[in-house]
Amino acid sequence: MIKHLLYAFLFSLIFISSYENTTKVSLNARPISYPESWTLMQQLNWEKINLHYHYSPNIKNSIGFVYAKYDNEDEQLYAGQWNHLLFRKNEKKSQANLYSKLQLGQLDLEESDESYFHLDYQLSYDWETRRHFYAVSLGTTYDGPEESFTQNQSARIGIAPYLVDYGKLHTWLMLQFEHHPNEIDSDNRLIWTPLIRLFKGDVLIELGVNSNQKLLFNSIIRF
Amino acid sequence: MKNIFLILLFSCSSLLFAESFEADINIHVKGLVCDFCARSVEKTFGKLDSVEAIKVDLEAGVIYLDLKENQELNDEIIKKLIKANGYSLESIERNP
Repeated sequence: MIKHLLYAFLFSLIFISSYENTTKVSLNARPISYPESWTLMQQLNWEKINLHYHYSPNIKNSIGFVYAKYDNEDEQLYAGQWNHLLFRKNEKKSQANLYSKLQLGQLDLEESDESYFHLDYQLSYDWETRRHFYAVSLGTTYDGPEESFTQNQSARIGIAPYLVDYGKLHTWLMLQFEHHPNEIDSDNRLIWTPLIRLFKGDVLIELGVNSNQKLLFNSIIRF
Repeated sequence: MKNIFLILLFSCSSLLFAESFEADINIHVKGLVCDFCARSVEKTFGKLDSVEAIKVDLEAGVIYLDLKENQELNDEIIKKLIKANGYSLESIERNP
């Protein structure tokens, strides 16, 4: 347990001390599902609405399609995404994962009618017990040629206020942090979002309001 | 009145069934921490012809399997399925 907390701490240090530019932040729960299953993930936040539909042939990989519409910039993204489990450590009361997420696609700008090549790479670490949750995500995005490479960081901590058996309604209270260094003189430079996660069977829902009073609504359905 | 009696009878039988789950195999697993994990093993073992019922105890980290009559499930298959689902097998207990 101490080792995993140490990993989380090291990731946090990188997160805190990080970079100069950022745009797209993604901190999805469980980006790979159980073998031979489909997953639909939806995200709505201050920045965008995002749909991610993917198939997991095994526990190490998932491959799927992403569509995103950005709120303020009239941008639409069409991309393929490959998630890969690099590392998993199972303990009796905990599980830790390190995921790699690669996104390749096209970013369309509606106003100027231009399209750019899009690349996004995320490295995400999570550690959870039945009571506690910790996740950190670091990544880089390329939306050429103007924006070039940018970096992004996010982190999340959570606690389950009560424990119930499998199949019943699980509740998590969480706090998400996002760092957007490129948002100079903006309220979006550092955002924190308290949220509630509700989880039952194959369905997960998250609802929150961020420090700028913008809504966050995420959902995951497994098939 | 008859309906109330039937509802009570159904509720009691449900409770009785829940209490009377007698597992043939207890599989002790590491990494079983959330409902998605439980769902994963439930789906995998549920596909086996030999398995009658499954119960997952997240707190204890144990998967209980009730086998159909005259059916068997060997340790090698259990090990393979647990690994394929991303968990670590601790031990397998067989109940007489």
